[in-house]
Amino acid sequence: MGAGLAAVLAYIVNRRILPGHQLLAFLALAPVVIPGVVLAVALFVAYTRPPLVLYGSIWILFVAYLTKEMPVGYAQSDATFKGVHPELEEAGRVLGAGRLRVLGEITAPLARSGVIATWCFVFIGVIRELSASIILFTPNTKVISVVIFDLKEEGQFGAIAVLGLFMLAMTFAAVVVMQTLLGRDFIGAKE
Amino acid sequence: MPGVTIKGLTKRYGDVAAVEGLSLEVQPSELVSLLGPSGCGKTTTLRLVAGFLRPEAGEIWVGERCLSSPTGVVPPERRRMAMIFQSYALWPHMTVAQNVAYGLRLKAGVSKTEREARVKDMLRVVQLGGYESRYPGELSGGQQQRVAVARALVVEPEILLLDEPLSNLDANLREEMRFEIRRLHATFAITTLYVTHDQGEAMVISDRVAVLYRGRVVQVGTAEDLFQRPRTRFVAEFIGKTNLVDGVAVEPGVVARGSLRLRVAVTGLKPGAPVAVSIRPHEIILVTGDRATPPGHNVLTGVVQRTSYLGDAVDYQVRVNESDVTLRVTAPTSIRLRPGVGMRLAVAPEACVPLIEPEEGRP
Ligand SMILES: Nc1ncnc2c1ncn2[C@@H]1O[C@H](COP(=O)(O)OP(=O)(O)OP(=O)(O)O)[C@@H](O)[C@H]1O
Ligand SMILES: [Mg+2]
Repeated sequence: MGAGLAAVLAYIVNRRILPGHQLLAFLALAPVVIPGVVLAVALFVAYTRPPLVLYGSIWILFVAYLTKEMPVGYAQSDATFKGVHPELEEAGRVLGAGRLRVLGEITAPLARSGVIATWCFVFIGVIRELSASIILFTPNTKVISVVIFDLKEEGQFGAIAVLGLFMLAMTFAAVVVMQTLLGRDFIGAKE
Repeated sequence: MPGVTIKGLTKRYGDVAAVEGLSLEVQPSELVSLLGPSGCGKTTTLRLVAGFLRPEAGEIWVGERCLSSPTGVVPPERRRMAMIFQSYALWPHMTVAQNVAYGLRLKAGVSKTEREARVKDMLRVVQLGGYESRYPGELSGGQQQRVAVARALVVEPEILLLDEPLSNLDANLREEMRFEIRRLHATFAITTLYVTHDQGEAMVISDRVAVLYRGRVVQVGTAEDLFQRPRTRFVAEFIGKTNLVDGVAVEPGVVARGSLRLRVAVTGLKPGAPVAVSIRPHEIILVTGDRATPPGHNVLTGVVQRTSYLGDAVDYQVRVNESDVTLRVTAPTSIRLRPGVGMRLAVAPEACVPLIEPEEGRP
């Protein structure tokens, strides 16, 4: 999800579709300077009162992760789209394809592996996120990193080891799955 | 096939005008080159014609359709044009056949069987039969270039646009592809705009050449026109080698520089006006000893300063007596003169071309 949004943003900025695209780029990259704790407190203050009460639900974590990982996702996708030469799209346009069609049939396939890689980065970043989660979690929405933190306070190192291994396995699995997908993609293009 | 008419086209980037008041008329089925030095606005012009850019002023017409004006631009996909890019822009994730078929898939009323047949035919025309299922990454530069040509021509566009399509190829292949493009143009007779900065290429390939300078067309004509009757200093120097003699018109058909007097190709000069005269090095005849000079020619005397042997000709630098003018002369190898030798130079008035039109930014 975060990767998807980052990709859309990067595409818009790169192809200068909307006015104010430079402002968009700035906004996407800005969270990198904000420490996770500060971001979390800000979100906490903003979303614990009307009009929008998100605190207590999983959504506040979602918003926090989205904001926090946006710079990573944006930078990755930006590089991906820079790698797709605009002339490749223009060649489609002159032959009669509209902007959307070119996006679907030319840009998207060429950018796919880059976007998947972006997703990997964002996923790993989110899984290990602690500084924002620790402020925004509630008993119903305890994420693994927060649980590990709690267990450490209680000195239960055995449980930590298990959870740690689980986390490791999960990120590892995600990366491996993505790599095989990418690999097949690559082989598919070559045979 | 409709022609293309460009009227007073202007495109600015910030404060700089990439194209400024450019006008050009391309006849139906004609191949016109846009020739000019780097940064003179060739690519910008082509992208304006393709519909990727909106002009700040001016209009682009194809046949009876106005496709671009400051108030509206028909998008590229609805212009019935095709374009060949400098980078070829082949899609790496599609096979050769898929690349070529792409434009046909988007065309209404082309069945699958017809499409396959046309792709096959077109690949045969560009001599790539049998390469259908290869990927662009598995082809040589020349083969990729031919796929790009096939992809553009298979949709039978009304207008074909090419942006320096040969600049990535080595010299031999470039020459071969020039004739290839010429041959394909003769076969399909598509109105074509061809961008290049190589004057040799422009002269070989096109019906007419439009010389661009600082975002404007300074002269349009056949290769012969431009070479023999350049109108500005820029064109004279850009198309082939030339000698330029800056002088003043003293009679309607005579230009003087110091004591040097040249009868020139036209007779409409205003006495007193500054005029530069262009003389091609191979139009100057060296006359030695007491041999007669050809009748009606301008005759000068001079001394050889330097010579270079070029194999099929000899290049001389000749200092004209009693003046500060040095002329380059290309002469056949049958006469060989050494530095320091004096002789006469004969130039027909028709070969002395006064450059009448002033140039922007130059006196
Ligand atoms: N996107 C852009 N933004 C700003 N300036 C531009 C842009 N594109 C072109 N220009 C400027 O416009 C002028 C004309 O550029 P253009 O690309 O049309 O030149 P060209 O004749 O194609 O040159 P070349 O032979 O080097 O390709 C140049 O001075 C260039 O710097
Ligand atoms: Mg260019």
